[in-house]
Amino acid sequence: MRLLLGNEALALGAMDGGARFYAGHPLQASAEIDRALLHSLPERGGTAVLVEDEAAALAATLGAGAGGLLGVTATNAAGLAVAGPLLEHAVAARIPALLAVVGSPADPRAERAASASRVPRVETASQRELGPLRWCAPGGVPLPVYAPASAGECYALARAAAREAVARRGPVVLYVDHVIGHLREPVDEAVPDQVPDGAESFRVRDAVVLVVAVGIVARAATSAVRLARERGQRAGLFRPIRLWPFPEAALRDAASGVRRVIVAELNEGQLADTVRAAFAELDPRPIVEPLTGDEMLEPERIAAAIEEPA
Amino acid sequence: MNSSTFLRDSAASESRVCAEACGLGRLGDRLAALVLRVGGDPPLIVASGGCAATLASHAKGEAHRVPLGRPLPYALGLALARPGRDVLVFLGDGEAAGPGLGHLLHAARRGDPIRALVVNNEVLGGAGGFPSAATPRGLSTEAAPQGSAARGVDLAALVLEAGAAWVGRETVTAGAALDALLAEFLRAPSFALLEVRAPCYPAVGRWNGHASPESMHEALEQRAIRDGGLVGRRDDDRFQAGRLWPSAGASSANHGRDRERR
Repeated sequence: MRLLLGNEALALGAMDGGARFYAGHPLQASAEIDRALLHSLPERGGTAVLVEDEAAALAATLGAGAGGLLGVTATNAAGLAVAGPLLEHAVAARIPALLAVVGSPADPRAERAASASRVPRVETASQRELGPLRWCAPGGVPLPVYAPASAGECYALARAAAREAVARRGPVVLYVDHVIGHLREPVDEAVPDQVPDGAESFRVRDAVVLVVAVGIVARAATSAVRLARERGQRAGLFRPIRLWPFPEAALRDAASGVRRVIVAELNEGQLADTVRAAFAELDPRPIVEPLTGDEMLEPERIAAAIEEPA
Repeated sequence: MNSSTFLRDSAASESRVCAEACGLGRLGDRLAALVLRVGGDPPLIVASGGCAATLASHAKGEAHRVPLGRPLPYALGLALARPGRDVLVFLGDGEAAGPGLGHLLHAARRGDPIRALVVNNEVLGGAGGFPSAATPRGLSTEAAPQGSAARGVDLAALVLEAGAAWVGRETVTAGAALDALLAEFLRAPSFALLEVRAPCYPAVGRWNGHASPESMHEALEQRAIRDGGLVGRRDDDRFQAGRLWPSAGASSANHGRDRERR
């Protein structure tokens, strides 16, 4: 058991899963991943290089993958924006690779403030990459994208994703929001190997209100569900662990008997349509209510939404 | 390895490039023949799109076709993953002087263990004859017959200044001089850049008053300077040819790094 940042745990998991190459262009959001891989990969017989920009980092990672070394790189929303053609290529050429996307803070002013202090703040959290990640390889089906919600899960999912990338010979993406990447938590490296489940449900069996959330918002929503239960409301939580392709069947199972579904996310509402689409064939259909924000959604606010229809 | 395992049929490879006599087909065949003569495992080839990438079709060996602009960093990863193999990158001037220019300078700066062959036809030929970033000022092209307004990037000079271990430039019609430089390039310390000027008749030659590809090639030869000196800034459309680095009078000891250092 070690105490690690989510980003550090992700790097460790990637190496334990078999990543032997890293090329990166460090950005503040993902710098702890870069640092961990630069320090540790050479000790493990791997290769780590810094290159000029995000596209070069991903391109070199793919070159290494094509040459037989599983590569990993880390980036943010800006890097994701130039990754499209390279990820498409990786899919078409069947190149295994691991891409960690660390979410950026909410707005440029907040980002500058966080940058100045070097301390990411919960109130500047954002999840504006959730939607773009679905089509990050624009020419094909959605890539597997995993969204851990703790440092321990960063480790376990990165290790599993590295193995999945090799097994399916293609790129696999890990999405860590700004807060999860910078939470320091106990990490159990002895966690058993298993194919990650598509989703996790919490107190859904008798739920009539279901919250759907990922990453740090799912942590807040867990508290919100507890608060709501204490107040006598039958609330539950559905947390996609594999964000894309979205675990629709698991969501329908979790939502059986549910009348309202609250989709809580730190953006303008990128998941709500996907959640609505999952219920399209159901009769009766639960009402889907987006709960969005450009600042952290605190448990009380989510609990209030559970109590009062929007 | 023999020629039947590395070389494609020459006629077939010629058919992969347009039939307008830029010399790319011959360049590919000369390169393939020289690779055979060097022996050992054939180089791993990385290219994206465009005319220059058709050179990849001259080899039966492992060729990686990757997104535009990214062959160099991709090749870095490939070379580091397979340290026993030579890695050869084919670029056009549109890519090398445009979206790939940053990658090119950084590859030279770091001494990446790869060799890059830039085929400079001074135009975005395949894209419809638009000026590339390497089109000399004033040169007319199919899509800009009034002449390119901007100064052209001197790729060899920039890469030399960035610290490449080996830099050369020749015209595609230089015959034995080109063959000698190609052979040297294939054994050169890395990072190495060879720029081959191979002008495009349909997109450039025809728009600058040349009645035939031959006249266009002759005009290009007139622009080449072969006095063996170092490149310096030029404000006309002439260019230094031959091996530019290490230059006759310079020591390469502190300039560029050999691949063994990696």
